[in-house]
Amino acid sequence: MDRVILVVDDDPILHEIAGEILESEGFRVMHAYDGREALQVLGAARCSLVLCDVFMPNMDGFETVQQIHARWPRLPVVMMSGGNAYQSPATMLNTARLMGVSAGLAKPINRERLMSKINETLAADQPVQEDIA
Amino acid sequence: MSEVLMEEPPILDRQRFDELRASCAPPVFNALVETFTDNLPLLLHQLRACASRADADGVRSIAHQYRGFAGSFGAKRLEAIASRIQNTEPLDPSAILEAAAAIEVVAPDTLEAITRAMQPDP
Repeated sequence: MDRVILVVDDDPILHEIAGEILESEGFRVMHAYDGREALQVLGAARCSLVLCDVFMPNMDGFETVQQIHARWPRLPVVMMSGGNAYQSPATMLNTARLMGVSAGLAKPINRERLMSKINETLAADQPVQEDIA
Repeated sequence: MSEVLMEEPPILDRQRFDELRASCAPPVFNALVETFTDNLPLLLHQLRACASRADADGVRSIAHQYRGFAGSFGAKRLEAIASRIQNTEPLDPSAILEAAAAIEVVAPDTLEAITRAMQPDP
């Protein structure tokens, strides 16, 4: 079965970089540019893992994770953040961990750290995207 | 927006830039750079338009885009300015003009630094 990663970020460059890295590692990549779009994609396609940014228009990463876990509680999410003026990426990603995300990834991403998080998460979580009835 | 940075970050963090280059196949990296360099002036145009109508939400949104682009490429000074704009409260008309002016100064330097970094080592 294809291993499919849904990348959720409003930054088109991030999509290009993550897509290039993940596809070269044998993953199929789907794209969404905010949380709402991510939920639409997940409603129509089966994914192995969601790679999601925190700051996005329309629906931010925290709300997106809550909504994903309400519908697909076993679908792993790796949260990305570059932080902001008030919170470092580490603080923000700790918050995300408390909300149940599988792993946090500080921006900017690179191949080594991205693949390490993705592979660790997929190995640990045995991901299944199943709708809860 | 009026605070002075004690130590300005570099225009381009070559380590981050080269790390990104190493993460991608050369044609993809070249396309990414082209996307970045094409988008910098477009965003500047949009920023000027938002600044001229004191559109704080628009300026903040453009700063967010600048920050994402700049962060990926290691354009540290542009990223720092964009981050400050994004997090300035309130973003009143004078802060908007100051933000636009800061980006106007740094964007061309960033483009130049990236162009230099793309050239082969002598």
